[in-house]
Amino acid sequence: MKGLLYKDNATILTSYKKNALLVVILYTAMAVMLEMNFLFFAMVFLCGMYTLSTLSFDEFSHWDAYARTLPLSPGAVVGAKYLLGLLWMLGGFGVALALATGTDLVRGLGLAALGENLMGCLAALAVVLVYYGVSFPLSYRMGATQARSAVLLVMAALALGIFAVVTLLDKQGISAPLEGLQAATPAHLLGVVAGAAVLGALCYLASWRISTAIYRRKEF
Amino acid sequence: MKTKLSAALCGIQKHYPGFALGPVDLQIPAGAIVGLVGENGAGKTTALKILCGVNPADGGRVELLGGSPGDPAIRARVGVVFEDAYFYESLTAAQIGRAMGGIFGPRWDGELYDGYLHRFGLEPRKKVKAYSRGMRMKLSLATALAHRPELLVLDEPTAGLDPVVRGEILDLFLDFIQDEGHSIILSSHITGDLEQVADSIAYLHHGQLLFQEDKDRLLEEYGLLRCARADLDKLPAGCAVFTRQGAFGCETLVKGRGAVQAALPGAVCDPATIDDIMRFYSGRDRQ
Repeated sequence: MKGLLYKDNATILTSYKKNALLVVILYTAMAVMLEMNFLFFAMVFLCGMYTLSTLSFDEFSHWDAYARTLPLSPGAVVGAKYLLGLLWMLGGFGVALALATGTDLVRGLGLAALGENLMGCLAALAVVLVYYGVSFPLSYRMGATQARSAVLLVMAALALGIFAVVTLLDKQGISAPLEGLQAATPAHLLGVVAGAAVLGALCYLASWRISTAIYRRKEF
Repeated sequence: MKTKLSAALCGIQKHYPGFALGPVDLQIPAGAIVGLVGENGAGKTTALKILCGVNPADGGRVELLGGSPGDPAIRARVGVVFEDAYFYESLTAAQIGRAMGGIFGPRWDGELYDGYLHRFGLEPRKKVKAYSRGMRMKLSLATALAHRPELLVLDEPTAGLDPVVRGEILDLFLDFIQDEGHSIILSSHITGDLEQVADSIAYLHHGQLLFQEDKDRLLEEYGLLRCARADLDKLPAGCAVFTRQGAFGCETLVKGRGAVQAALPGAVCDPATIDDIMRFYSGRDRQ
């Protein structure tokens, strides 16, 4: 697995080094000038996207056919992708939090918004874990390019589903969850967001199992 | 004496929409180079992919270095070069070496890999996309050889290369085969290369293995007979594979050149090349 992690990481670095640098500079400039710290949270998504795009590179170079000839199990091939994805997302989380906090310090706001920044990063991580938890299996199943539209449809369906549940609850007069959120203290909210991140992580873990099963059956 | 086999396809079948391979029986003896020939779409790549574990067969059995291609430990003893399947082109040869070191672990010989890069004149820090086609093929070969495999599986390793590079690569194959435990199976459309290095030739035609024969015996056995059509009746039964009628007589691929020359002492019967054999077999089946 070490070699696979190195291969994909090197592919990301050689392909996206300039892009990542540009994003950091651009987002920092925009966050400072427009006071839009939430832009940094998108870096968690972007870091996951770098990892997901290695599937396109693999398809382009027919890597998977070659990988099957190497002493690697399907679990290791898929597992390395998921592990690298997680590491990059956590890296994005760390960089986003550091930049958001650093920007606050530059703007003379001190560490007052640290909790808010942490919550934003955790919420981004939770959503992104679910997003890539959906993206990876679909990409393995349909191919990276075709999966893009399917992922958007699935995410839209998820969002609609959540909206429908909240609306239904509201119509039934059950508005306690939303009211609870509105009345929650920052510490409680942080707990809720951290819980969502844990759920995202569980979804990502289940996704790995599904992707491995798809990959095992796939022919090249 | 029974020949020791490195690998074998035993009754292998594979079905795709519009194409069926096999049942195919193919043997790769230890210490030998087997050349796999056939028209485009004959099933060469499909057979090689099944042999080295890329895809499973629908039927039959694969024997690979005393085990099965499903076993990663067995695959660690095989070196594979596919024409178009490799690492992404943004990586350098040095990065590919480090990745393969992580994949193969202690089997990977970094010094040997660096030695091949040096021997082939490949700059380790240059990205693969900056390499020419010949350089990419040499890099693929360096990658396939640096874990000291016992069997090389090569799909079109010399396609699109100039004669000088092809010569270097063929020399490398002959070096590799100096160890009697080593074997190679390679598919190629450049039959001249196979005539130079292969010990036996396997001919896949429309998904069926028409023959696998010792190369020298094959080239000795098959001939191109030029004679009048009436003379063909004098040939022993089963000798003529296929006849093409031209303006000045006919040209026939014959099997059993000795018997043909004995039956028609005045006729011209030149040894047939692998290309000739393929051309006539495919002509026969188009009829």
